[in-house]
Amino acid sequence: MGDSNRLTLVASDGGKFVVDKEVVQMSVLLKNMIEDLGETDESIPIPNVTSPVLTKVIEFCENHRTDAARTDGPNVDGDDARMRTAVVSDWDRQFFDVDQDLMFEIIVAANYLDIKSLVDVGCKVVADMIKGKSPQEIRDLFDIVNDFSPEEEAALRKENEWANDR
Amino acid sequence: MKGGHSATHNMPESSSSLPHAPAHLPREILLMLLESLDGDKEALRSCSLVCRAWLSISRSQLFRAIYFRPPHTGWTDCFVRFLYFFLTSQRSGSDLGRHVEDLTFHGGCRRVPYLLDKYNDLDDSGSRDRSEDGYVSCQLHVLVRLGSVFPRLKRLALVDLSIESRTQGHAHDGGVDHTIAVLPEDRSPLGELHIHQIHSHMDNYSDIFQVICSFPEIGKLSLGFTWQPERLRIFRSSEAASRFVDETPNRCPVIRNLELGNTDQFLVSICHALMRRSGGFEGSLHSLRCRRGWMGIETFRPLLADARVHLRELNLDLFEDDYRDWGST
Repeated sequence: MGDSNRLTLVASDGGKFVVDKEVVQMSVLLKNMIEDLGETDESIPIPNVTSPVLTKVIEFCENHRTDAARTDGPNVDGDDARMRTAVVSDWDRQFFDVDQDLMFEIIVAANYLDIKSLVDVGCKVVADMIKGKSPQEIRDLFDIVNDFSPEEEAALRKENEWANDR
Repeated sequence: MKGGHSATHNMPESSSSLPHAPAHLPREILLMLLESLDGDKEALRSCSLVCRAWLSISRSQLFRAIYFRPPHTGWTDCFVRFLYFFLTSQRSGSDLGRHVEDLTFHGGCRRVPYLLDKYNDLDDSGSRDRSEDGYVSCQLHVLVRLGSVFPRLKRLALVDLSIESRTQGHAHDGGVDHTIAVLPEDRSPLGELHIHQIHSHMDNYSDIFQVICSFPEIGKLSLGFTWQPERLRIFRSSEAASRFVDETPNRCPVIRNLELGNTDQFLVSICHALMRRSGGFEGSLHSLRCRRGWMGIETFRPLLADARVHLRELNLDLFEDDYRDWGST
């Protein structure tokens, strides 16, 4: 019988991670899974997350483990998704100072694992990268191909003028 | 790595391919990214033009809250173009009106009668929406059935508008009525309806109540009519208020919370009638608030006598004495 406070996660590429249960429970998906399994030595497969991404996810959860109590708050699963008031610390910014592919994979993995704080911080970091940039600058930043014709773009730009703020 | 986890075998050095490049992010992730822009309209405009995959989701955020404030001339023309734009988008399939949850119409009218002599320079002869006495007409009745164009509307604010007697009419408003009339009737509840700084020189507030009554239920109704000088106040008697009973539809919405601003006898009287017809005194009205009441407590007695049984919150902010002092100067 192993340490009952720890469990093993298995990434999609076979990488194994022995992690404290307290840390893992920041993930609502894993928390529910642990509750369903009860006391067990079985490893938990994470089929959609690769080892490098899971390494980062675990790093975030360990750093924010004291925030875990917040996940029991009433707003965590609230429907009002617009209440994205994540505070991004210096540590968080440094955490997301990785190549863009990894950054987006972390956000997608956090969403899959249902780790709200990681999703919110990741989205906030990306949002800050977008703010103040033109469409072309955003395309350049994320290497996105413009699939609008110039005429379409001009028409859309004109329509957007109706969305005034004041 | 701290915290006691350890990688054992088969751990690659870098992540696999790029299934989640920004142009191909799952829709829910992209939506969360855009929500994190906190409604920054410029950023959302830019995002909507990045690529097709981003267009629809960006616009769902971009058009969520709209503030409509056209130039003070040509309000009606501009308003018709505004509605036409959303109607066209409905027919073309993009249906941008379905994204709108918060809508503010600001008339931008600065030429209420008692300020006319100060703003004569604004007397633009080219204005098509100005009546003879200087009001900027907003043709408020075109707002009826807005819910058909904006089915997810949660908050509607009408601010700084003037109402013109429909009997005076305008050559160019006939088409407006027709355009709106072909739409189905709105049946969606509204969270908040704010109607403030409304000017009417004819005491014809029926258009306002047409708007109010186009919703079956309103969580919070906030009403505030513009203060009128004494020479015009004589028209705003409680007798005039009683006319509203004949002018409004039989069906009145259920109103949970009522807030009155710039309160005078006229406003209290018509709200009393509105509440009576909407069942507000039978338990649906939970809260009554009054800000900047020009009248004394006596004005509220008939309303409070009917409302007090079921009311959970009552807040009357009156400054009768200030008004008397100010009025004597």
